[in-house]
Amino acid sequence: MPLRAPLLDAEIALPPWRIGAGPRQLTAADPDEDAVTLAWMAGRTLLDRHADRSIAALLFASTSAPLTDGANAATLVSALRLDPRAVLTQEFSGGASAGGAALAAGTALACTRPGAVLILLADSRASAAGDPLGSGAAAVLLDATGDLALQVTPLGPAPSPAVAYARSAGVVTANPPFTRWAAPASARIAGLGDLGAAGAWISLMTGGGQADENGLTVDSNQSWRLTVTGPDQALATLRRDAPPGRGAPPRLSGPPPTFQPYYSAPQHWRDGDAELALVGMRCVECEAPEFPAAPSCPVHGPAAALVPARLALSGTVFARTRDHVFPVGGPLTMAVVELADGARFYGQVVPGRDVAIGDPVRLVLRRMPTAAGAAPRYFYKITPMDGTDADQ
Amino acid sequence: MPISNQVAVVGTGVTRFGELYDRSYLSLLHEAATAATDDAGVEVGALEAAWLGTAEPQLGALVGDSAAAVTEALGFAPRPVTRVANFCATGMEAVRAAALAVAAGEYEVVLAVGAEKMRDLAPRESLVAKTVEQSHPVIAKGRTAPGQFALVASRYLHTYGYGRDVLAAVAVKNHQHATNNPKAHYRTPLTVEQVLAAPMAAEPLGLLDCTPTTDGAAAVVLASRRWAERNARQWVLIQGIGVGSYAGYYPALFRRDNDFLGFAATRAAAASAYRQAGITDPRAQLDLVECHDCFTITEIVNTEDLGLFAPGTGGAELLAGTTSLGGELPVNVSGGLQSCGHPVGATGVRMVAEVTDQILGRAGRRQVRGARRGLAHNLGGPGAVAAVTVLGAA
Repeated sequence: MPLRAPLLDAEIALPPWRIGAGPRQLTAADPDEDAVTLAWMAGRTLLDRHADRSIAALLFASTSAPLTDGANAATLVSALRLDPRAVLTQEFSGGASAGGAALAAGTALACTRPGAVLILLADSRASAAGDPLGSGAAAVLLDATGDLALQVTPLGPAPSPAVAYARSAGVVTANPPFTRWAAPASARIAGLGDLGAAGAWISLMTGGGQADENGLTVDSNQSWRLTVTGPDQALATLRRDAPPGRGAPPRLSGPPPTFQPYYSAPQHWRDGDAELALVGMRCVECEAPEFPAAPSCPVHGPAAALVPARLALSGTVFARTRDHVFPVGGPLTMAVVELADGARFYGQVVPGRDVAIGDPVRLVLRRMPTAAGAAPRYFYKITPMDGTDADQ
Repeated sequence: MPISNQVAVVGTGVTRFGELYDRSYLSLLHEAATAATDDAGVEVGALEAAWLGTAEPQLGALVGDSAAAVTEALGFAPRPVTRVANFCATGMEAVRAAALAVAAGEYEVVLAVGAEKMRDLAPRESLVAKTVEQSHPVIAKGRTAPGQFALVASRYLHTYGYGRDVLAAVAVKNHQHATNNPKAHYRTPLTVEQVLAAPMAAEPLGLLDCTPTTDGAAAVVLASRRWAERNARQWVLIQGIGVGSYAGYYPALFRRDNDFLGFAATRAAAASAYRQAGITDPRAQLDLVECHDCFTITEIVNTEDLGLFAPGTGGAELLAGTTSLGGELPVNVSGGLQSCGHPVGATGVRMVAEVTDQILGRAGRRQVRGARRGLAHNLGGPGAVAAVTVLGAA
């Protein structure tokens, strides 16, 4: 039975780097990005257009999520500045049909309870040999006020591929090969690559599906058919060209095997939400927020009334250095940014980009280096506004 | 009782600074302290209390984690010993704590000693490892000591239109000064071209814009003015000693009132010390300055924060030779941190010892002729704290 829900808006996020050329070209993410940071980028861009919308649920689908215990969606809730105590979360993983499953579940949820449903689909996949397969994310916002409608129609059971086994020199190989991503594999998008759980939706928005009088249609991994219907003008807002790429991604030297940064589980539990949401403090007597939050205003002292304040995520560069001493991921460009709300941010510039004093920049969620085998840790880095920097 | 002119420096002792692989933390502490007591003409047994400045005991197997290290190095039991730490201003903080206790009237003669053993580890395992690994897991990750001061340098050059050569001039001047200091880590003169051609540390700071990683210790014996008048061979008076603070370790670089052109903590510490010493025109009233120069830019902006030069003109005065030995107001005739090195806890004590020796006219080939009053300045963290001492002839 088809599921149908009002669709308010959607967005995609494709990293700027490209490997190869022509139809075989792949999108490639920065070395400090993963499915969570890509999903954040799509979600942040989408939610910036709907700042007043209350989000009731966040569904996250990825076949390449960094954690398998469900903490990815919680990270995204905090980093997208949603209320962790109010937002229902659910994660979809495993096969590439996780994306269709999340859309089906989100559509069902949107029909049965009030509030907007945010569906984040993201993948940054590599082959078993470590070769990149493509990176990208999509964000879909289902809400009763939407002019469009999303219909998710289940397709017949996926045909089980007949597997042929061969033995050669003592090694058994299978055709088609077994992979961690499970069959059927996601469709490859010409020029962008195999975008896994995000593939079908990115295909739909970049013109890869079918567009006719019935709306936009794309099949998701032979499991679901996605159809978006509505007025032509509203449908047109969903269509966009994939941005041109910037060449091969930068390489980031990884942490040395001896790298053992300070870690405290209680500290992470206590402060992690404010770090992910980039929450500082605002003294009611002061004109701008300060970060990090402290028990006292630096100007008005301990008696001042302080309230939590989310820092602006854009600004201009105030001071900048390229540091050759920091041994993890270096040389690093570090900068101080004067944010749009008057607060300051000090941190890393994303790999492969550079900034100069006065440049307009924004803050994006990235992975921070952790000890080998430790859970990922996310925080903000500085990136130039598109089109304002020179390639290094 | 106000501290001004009530406390005397009656003895100084400084070890050689350098990569002292053959020397332990305790032996350096012992050498500096006994040199200071010998200079003062007192037995260690006559000291009533001691303050120890050591900033990074983890670099030396925690021996200096408490001033019990003084007890061990000097046979000081059962007398009171106290360790102080205040980032890179730790050394002068030890002097200040000792001076306040004497001014309070509790003791007549005490020891302030700073010691740091940084080269028992490779430089990258030393303070670099602290900022890289032990700092906050995500906030400001990527910061290093040169990286923090490089931000100030970037802002200073951008705002006032100087080039990297003004930074190099600090290194050239201080290395030239250090050729006259037998205890300095580096005693080889440099050229501007050599400084500019050195490998980059954190733009615009190259390797020779940075203080090296150094072992060393320094000590001073402090006494009440009354004790000095009766017992001391020669002495100088602490005319003023102040500490100022600006912000915590992380917020210092996030604060929206940080102009990255200088250090508010230096301005606060100087205001306090000048008030005590009655100084209203420091450029005219001081004969020499020992100024924190962990990186070349640090000296330039601090000479402005100390009120010696107007904002933006510290670079021009440096290039004009105002701060060279023989100039109008010599800065860092010892060679500064640039050439002496920066064994953190020892540095502030070494500066006080240097200015004392200069006023006493016993600084050898680097003597500032006619020096009667001088200033020592010690900066901590990314401008988080600072200490200033004004010393004058008795």
